[in-house]
Order: sequence, then C-alpha cells, then structure tokens
Amino acid sequence: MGGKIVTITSGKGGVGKTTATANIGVALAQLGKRVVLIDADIGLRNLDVVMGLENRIVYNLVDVAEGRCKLRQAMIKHKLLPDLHLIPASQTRDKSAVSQSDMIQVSDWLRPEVDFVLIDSPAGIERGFRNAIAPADEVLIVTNPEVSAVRDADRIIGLLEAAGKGPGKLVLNRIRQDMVQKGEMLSADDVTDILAIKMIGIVPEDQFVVPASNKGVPVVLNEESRAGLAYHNIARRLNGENVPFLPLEEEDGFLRRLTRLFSGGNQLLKQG
Amino acid sequence: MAGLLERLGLLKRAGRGGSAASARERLHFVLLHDRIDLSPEELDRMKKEILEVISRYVAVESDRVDFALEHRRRDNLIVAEVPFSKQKTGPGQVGRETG
Ligand SMILES: Nc1ncnc2c1ncn2[C@@H]1O[C@H](COP(=O)(O)OP(=O)(O)OP(=O)(O)O)[C@@H](O)[C@H]1O
Ligand SMILES: [Mg+2]
Repeated sequence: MGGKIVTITSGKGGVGKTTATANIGVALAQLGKRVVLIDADIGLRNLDVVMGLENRIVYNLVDVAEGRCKLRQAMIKHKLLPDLHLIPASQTRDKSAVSQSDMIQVSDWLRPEVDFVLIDSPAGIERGFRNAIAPADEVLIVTNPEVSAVRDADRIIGLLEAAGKGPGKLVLNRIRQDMVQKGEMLSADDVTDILAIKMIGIVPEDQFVVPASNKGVPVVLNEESRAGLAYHNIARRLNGENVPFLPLEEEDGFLRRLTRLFSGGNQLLKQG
Repeated sequence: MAGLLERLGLLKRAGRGGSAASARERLHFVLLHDRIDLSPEELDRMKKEILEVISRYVAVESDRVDFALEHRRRDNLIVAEVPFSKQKTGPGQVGRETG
C-alpha cells in the first residue's frame, strides 16, 4: 500500500500549477490526509511563498538529494495543518542538481509515511518536467482556456503517454463563465473534446487567488472563494470520491438557470 | 457611409461567431500538425511519393493537387484531392501499363 504520488504539470508556464498544488494539498490535509508537497521547480522556487512557509526553510530538496540532510529535516510543517509538510526547492541551484532517481528515491521514502505526495512540476518539457513525473502514480495537467495553453497540454499528454504515465487528468484553470456564455472563451466541453482526456476540476478565474498568495494563505481556506471550492472538489476526487461537477462553479444564478433551461438541466452535471 | 455599414456588418459577423469559435478551429489545426509530428520536408516527401504512385495509373493534374490534415470526430485524417484527366498510356512512364 502506501501513499499516492501525484505530479502537477502543464507544459506552458504560468497557468496555475503552483497555485493548484498548494490548494489541493491544503484541501487534502483538511480532509484528514497526511500530505507532503514537493517543489520540483529547482532554481525558481515558489511553492514555499504561496504556502506562507518561506521563513521556515533551512534545508531543501537538493540538500536531500546530495545527502546533506535527512529527509525529515527538509520537511517544513504547515502552520495550521500538522499533517501537511513542504519540501522546498533550492533557489540557488539548477535542475541538473536533481535526477529522476533522486525523485523516485524521495518518493519511495515518503510513500509509507503519507497518503499523498504532490509534486509541483516546473513548466516546459525538459529535465525538470522529466524529474517531476518520474515517480508519479498519477499526473494532473493544468491548462487555461486559451489556444497556446491547450496546445502545450496536448504536447504534455503525448509525452506522458510515451513515458507510460499517461494520459493524466485535466485541471482547467481560470475559466470565466460570462465569457464562455458570450462565445469569447473556450468552454470546458471544448477543451475536453479537443484533448480527449478526463477532467478532474474546473477552476474559475477568481479575485481571491492573488490576495491569497500575497498573504501566503491558500485560497481554499477562504470559504467565500469559488476557486477554493473547486480545489476542494479536486482534492475529494483525488481521494476517490465521486463529486459531481458544480453547475460550472458559477457566479451568476440567473445565467445558471438559463443554461440549465437550454441544456435540459443535466449537461452540467458531468461526473468526475 | 457604405464603409461604415460594411464595418458594422463585419463587427456583427465577428460577434456572432465569437472568438471561441476561432480558438477551436485554430486549435484543431495546430494539434493536427503537432500530432502528425512530421517535418515539412517529410510531409513534402510523403506527398510526392503518393503522387508518384497515383501517376503510374492516371494522369494527375499536379498543379491542382491538394493535401490537407483534418480532424473529424476523434480521427486525424490526411485528405488528398487529386484531380486526374485521363488514363495514363504514354510511353516512358514508370510502373505497370494498363491494357
Ligand atoms: N483561478 C485563478 N484565478 C485568478 N488568478 C489565478 C488563478 N490561478 C492562478 N492565478 C494566478 O496566476 C499566476 C500564475 O499562477 P502559478 O504561479 O500558480 O502558475 P504556475 O503554473 O505555477 O507558473 P510557473 O510555470 O511559473 O511555475 C499567479 O499570479 C496566480 O495567483
Ligand atoms: Mg509554479
């Protein structure tokens, strides 16, 4: 048995991998799971800041890989959730400081101790991406409803399949239902239709996300946030629950009712 | 005045389609090319070889040949449109002769 290793990746940069990793991690911990987050973006570490743990770092992933500290020493405990830990990336080294077998070794050490290990992958298809997916049991691909991001997601899906890690599940981030209604943004159906893989979450564009990372308090802890709710649902789906997709985790009750009228009411309740 | 009306018409047309529609079309196009994963040179060579084979049997109007990648349902297709004028009988042609 043992924990599940889940890698969050994307191809294109800046689509929301780190935000997703932090929030899904917090949500899993809130569900009572033992969780370790690994920042695999060596040289561009961010996850510590988004988690609000930047001031507690002593050792990092490269120190573990190079044997300068024990794994335990590099694990930073979250302030509110004692079963949530972070292994930060090094900010001064580059991706060549860690190998695929290092990642597999670290994951094997963690597996018996935890329920989930979430690995925040760097953007791109190079070494850092290869390292991040090497130990993965499951891969989440984050994308935005835009041509370039979806194209890069397709490339990643191809690479995952070639590496025997595919096809992965999709997190569609930053969707704006008002724009989808106007025909000015790709819908969740468009994106799943094009990429032909399973969706694990649809996260709306949300004004609470940036303030949350400003404060280092992941948005899933804000009960008003619709993005937070979406991340919470992703965590439950990862945990094996069958959570129906919300009526597009939507802002406008009237539009939602209209959509229901036109779609016969059940089209929006795709199963996760 | 006509220009303005035209522009209004254009605007209206753009609005009706919506930019999501062009996003969908453009994505289908780039993904077909990404997924076939052949260089332009390889694509060219493939096209030439296919035409060579067809030319053994019929006279191809080579300037009107059209090769396209298309996406229908879940399938990626190579669609070739090869107009031909008559059965090939002339001398000096490679391959089998008919008759
Ligand atoms: N649903 C959302 N609503 C609003 N803003 C968001 C949302 N998701 C992410 N963002 C913002 O988008 C930016 C990029 O997010 P993030 O750093 O998580 O992306 P990334 O994929 O990890 O980037 P990189 O490829 O550089 O590692 C951040 O400023 C983040 O706050
Ligand atoms: Mg990141």
